[in-house]
Amino acid sequence: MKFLDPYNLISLQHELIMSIGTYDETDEILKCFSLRAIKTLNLKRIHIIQKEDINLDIKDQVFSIPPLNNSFLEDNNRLAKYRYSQTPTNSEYIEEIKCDRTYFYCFSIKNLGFMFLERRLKPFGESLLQALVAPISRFGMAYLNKHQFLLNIKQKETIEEISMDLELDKLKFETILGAISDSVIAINIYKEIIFANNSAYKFLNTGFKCKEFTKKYYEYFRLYELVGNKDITRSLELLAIKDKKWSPEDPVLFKAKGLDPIVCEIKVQEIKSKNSKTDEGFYVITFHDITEAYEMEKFLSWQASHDPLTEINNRIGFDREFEAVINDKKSEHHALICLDLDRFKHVNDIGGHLAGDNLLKQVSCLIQREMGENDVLGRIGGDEFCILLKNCTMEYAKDISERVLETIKRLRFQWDDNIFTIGVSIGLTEITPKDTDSGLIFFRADEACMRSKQNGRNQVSLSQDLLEPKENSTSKINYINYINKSLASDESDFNFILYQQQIKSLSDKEKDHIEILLRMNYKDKVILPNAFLPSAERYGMVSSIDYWVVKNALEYLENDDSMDVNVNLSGVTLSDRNALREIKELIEDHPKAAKSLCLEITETAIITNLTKCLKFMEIMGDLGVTFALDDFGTGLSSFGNLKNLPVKYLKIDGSFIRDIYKNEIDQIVVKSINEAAKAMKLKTVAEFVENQSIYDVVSDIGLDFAQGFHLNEPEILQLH
Amino acid sequence: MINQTKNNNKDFSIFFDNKERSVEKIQSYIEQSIEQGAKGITLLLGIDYISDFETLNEYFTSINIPISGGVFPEVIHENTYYKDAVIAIAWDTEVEINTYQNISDPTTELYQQATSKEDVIQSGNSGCLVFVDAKTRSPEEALDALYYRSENDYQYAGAGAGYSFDEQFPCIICNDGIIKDALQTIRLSLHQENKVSYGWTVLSGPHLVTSSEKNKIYSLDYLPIEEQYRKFIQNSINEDISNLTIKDLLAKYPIGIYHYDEYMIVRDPFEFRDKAIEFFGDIPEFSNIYILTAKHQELIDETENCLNLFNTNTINCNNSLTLLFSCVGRRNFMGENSNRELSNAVEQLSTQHSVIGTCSFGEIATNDAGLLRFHTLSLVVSGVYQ
Repeated sequence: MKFLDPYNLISLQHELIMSIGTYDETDEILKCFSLRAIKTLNLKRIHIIQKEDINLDIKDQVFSIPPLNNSFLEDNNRLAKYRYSQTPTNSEYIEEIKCDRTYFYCFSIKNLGFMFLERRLKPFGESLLQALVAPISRFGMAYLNKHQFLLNIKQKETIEEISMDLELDKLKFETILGAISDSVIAINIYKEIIFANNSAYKFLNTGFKCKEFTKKYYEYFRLYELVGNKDITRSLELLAIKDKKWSPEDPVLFKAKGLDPIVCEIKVQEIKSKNSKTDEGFYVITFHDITEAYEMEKFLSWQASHDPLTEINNRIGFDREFEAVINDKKSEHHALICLDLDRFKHVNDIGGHLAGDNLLKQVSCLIQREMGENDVLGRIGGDEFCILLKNCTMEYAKDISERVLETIKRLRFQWDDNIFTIGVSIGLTEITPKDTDSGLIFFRADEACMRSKQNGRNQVSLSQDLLEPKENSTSKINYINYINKSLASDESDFNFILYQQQIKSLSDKEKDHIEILLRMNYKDKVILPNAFLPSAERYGMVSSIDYWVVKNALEYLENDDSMDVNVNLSGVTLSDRNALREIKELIEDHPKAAKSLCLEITETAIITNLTKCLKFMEIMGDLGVTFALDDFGTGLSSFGNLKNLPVKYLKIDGSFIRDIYKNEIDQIVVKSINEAAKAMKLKTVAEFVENQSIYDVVSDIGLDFAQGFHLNEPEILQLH
Repeated sequence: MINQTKNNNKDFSIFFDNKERSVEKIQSYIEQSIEQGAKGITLLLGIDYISDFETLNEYFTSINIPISGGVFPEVIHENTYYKDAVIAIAWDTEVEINTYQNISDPTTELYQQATSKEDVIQSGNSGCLVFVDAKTRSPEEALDALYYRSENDYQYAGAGAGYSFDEQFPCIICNDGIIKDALQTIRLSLHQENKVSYGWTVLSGPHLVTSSEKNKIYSLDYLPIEEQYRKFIQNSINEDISNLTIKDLLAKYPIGIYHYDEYMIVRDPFEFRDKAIEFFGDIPEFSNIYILTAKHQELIDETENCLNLFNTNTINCNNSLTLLFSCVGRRNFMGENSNRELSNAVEQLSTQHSVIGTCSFGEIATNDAGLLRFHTLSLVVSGVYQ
């Protein structure tokens, strides 16, 4: 019995269509349909020519089920022609191709290609072939639909992968942006911040995430020029809009509310939107915080131009400022002051370099107090300073110079147990608009400074003075040779001579004293100690000079002891153990004269060398030598110290006496000193009594002695 | 006693024994065949012929002549079924024996496309016997693979070897011994004509197999198989079957599968378990099946009709061998009538014919399109002639 009736054909169609199933893969659809067809239709194989479809990602290929080692198209032109046919536009049965005992039944499959049913030995009937069109067509649809479906899924997966990749990229870039120290901000065309990385949040001091930026960007921060502090916030927009990007060479100052200003480098880049529907781009602003580097650079620059000890300009820094003033075409009159500290070496030698350093710091502070805000101070050498006074008259410059001179002169620098006094030699020159050579100006001031030194230090010299020719000037004399000659008492143009000045007793109970003063005689000209003592100090001749003076004083007293003789003993001698020993031996050799000898020692010198002085004074006291404390009131000693000192006379410093007739404070001070001295049974001496008024006041106060030009001027001591 | 049928033209010789039933007897047949110049030997061994399979196994591996065949529940010699007999066919013409082993594994040689070397026998004389272990994973799949791997058109006929419904035992005879899970082809330099006789008629159907897996049907027309099967039978007969068990019904009502342009393929249901009816042979999902029935006489008549359809060359050839492959299930169904069927068939065939065969688990025959079909409850008649 055979089943060829329509019902069975329908059943066959149904069976084949059902075999298409709902498989997940196109290969499974193909395999199941083909195998079922092969089995049900007693086929040897099914062959398929699949046409390329780029849209469905289907490749052009020929294959057989079950597989064949060789293509079924070989050696058969009637089959091979389908290899080159166009993709069918409908599904239908085409033809039977018989090869030997094999029958190939060719079907076109819409949009897919061709299917060949290979059957051996026995041909199909026409009704069956027509009945097969429906399941083959359905297979083609299912096969292509599955391709489309899988492609859609693949594309969806690809899109999802791309989305994930983009999301990952976004996360990666956000992480990178979050990790970098630079601040990155994105601003849209409405001037709203649409993105800020972690660093930017700190920069902006916002403390919240970007979706909460509600205000315009310039309400969160503003930009300023580093030099001049000009607000350039608006420039950010204008320049970026014009040039699409903006990267100023110079750093800018970034100021956010509530935060310290930050020095930063800024870059602005416009990013155009790729969305063609809108023209909205945005700007990416990168801030690179260089505050630390900037401060470091500033510090290094400061270090290069400043003296680390005194924190004032060094030579380089001062030169820079100085050149700027010289080169300023609008420049007015200025002044340059050169200062050279006197006796600084002594401080270094005695107190050590640390003491010297501290002294320099104090000196620089004192000088700065006397200067104006725009004036410039520089330390241009070890103990050399320069002051540039801007836009000033020479009168003002002289005044400043004098004030500085006086300030330094009055400085009592204490270091450990020592108290030092120093002086300063000052040279002053004017800078006019015609001056263009800074070196020449320096030279003028320096020359003036040298002149002050040569004239005895502690004075101010004007450079104009140097321009006046001075014959026979002693300014360039090298005194050290003549000090040596004077000490040797050789016959020469130079020799020491002693002057005396009376110290007048203001009561009947005390007899007058004379103070012996040292001068140098040069061709009938008298040179003051200020001129030659610096050389003596520099070359260590002070103790020898003291010895010479004491020796001559003692010899004078040997012949005339009608008045006690006061001789000054320098601090240098008091600090020199050998010098003290020699003087002690000298005095011991003149026991009678010693009883009329009064040695004047400054309170600073005593306190600086207290132990040695006390021992020396004790020994001298035993020989009948008395002591006077010179310049009392200017040092750091107190009455507490005073009562322990074996001094007999207290010589009150001239600075308290000079204006005492018109200065009530000075009177009070002098009265106090006098009362304290009396309590300690000390005799008091007023120095600098230069007029009658002073004399009257000191007499009224009850001081014991008076000394000064009003009473008599120094005169040559006639040695016997 | 040697029972030898000698073909005058020396195409083949048949040896039969059911008396001595010894390994030595088989050895003597084989040695005798070798002496006579046989090119190959095919043994059809009834399960009760011997019990010493081990010695036989060793012997097969020691001989040089190509050997083939199988072990079956029964063998057919002339008009009788024998459980305790052996038939040896000594092929005096060129034979090519291929034994594919481990056929449950779809990656083995059987499932690869044939090389041209295997087709040593030119087509034209295209006879081929085939034996397959009936308890392999899928006999049908193995037969399909055999068909697709070769480009030549052979007339296959054969049987499912084995002797147990439940277990798989070695049953394919080859030079490696008696092995299981194998398929064997014996290509003959002889013509071969095959006919399939089943004689079953449609009781109900077609019905759509809506759920199946290999040889198991779970549902018919979208309802469970058991109730559908019972209902369709009940609706088709006047007799009340409510007192019959499913096993009773399975024994009486097989199913048939319709393939286009082909005779019905009958499937023997042998078990109902796990809500599925199990068959010898696969039932594809969404195939149309029919519930079949038959009367014994109808089956006998159908066999007669089938033999009448044989080519006259086959019938009239003096030098021919007729092979009958009858199903165990058919034998069970027909009972004693099965013996009558065989007697009638042998009688119908010419006395010049040697009639041998097997009672087996499934029968194999190519259909008109050259495809191998695995039949059950059928009788395959294969005429081999020069």
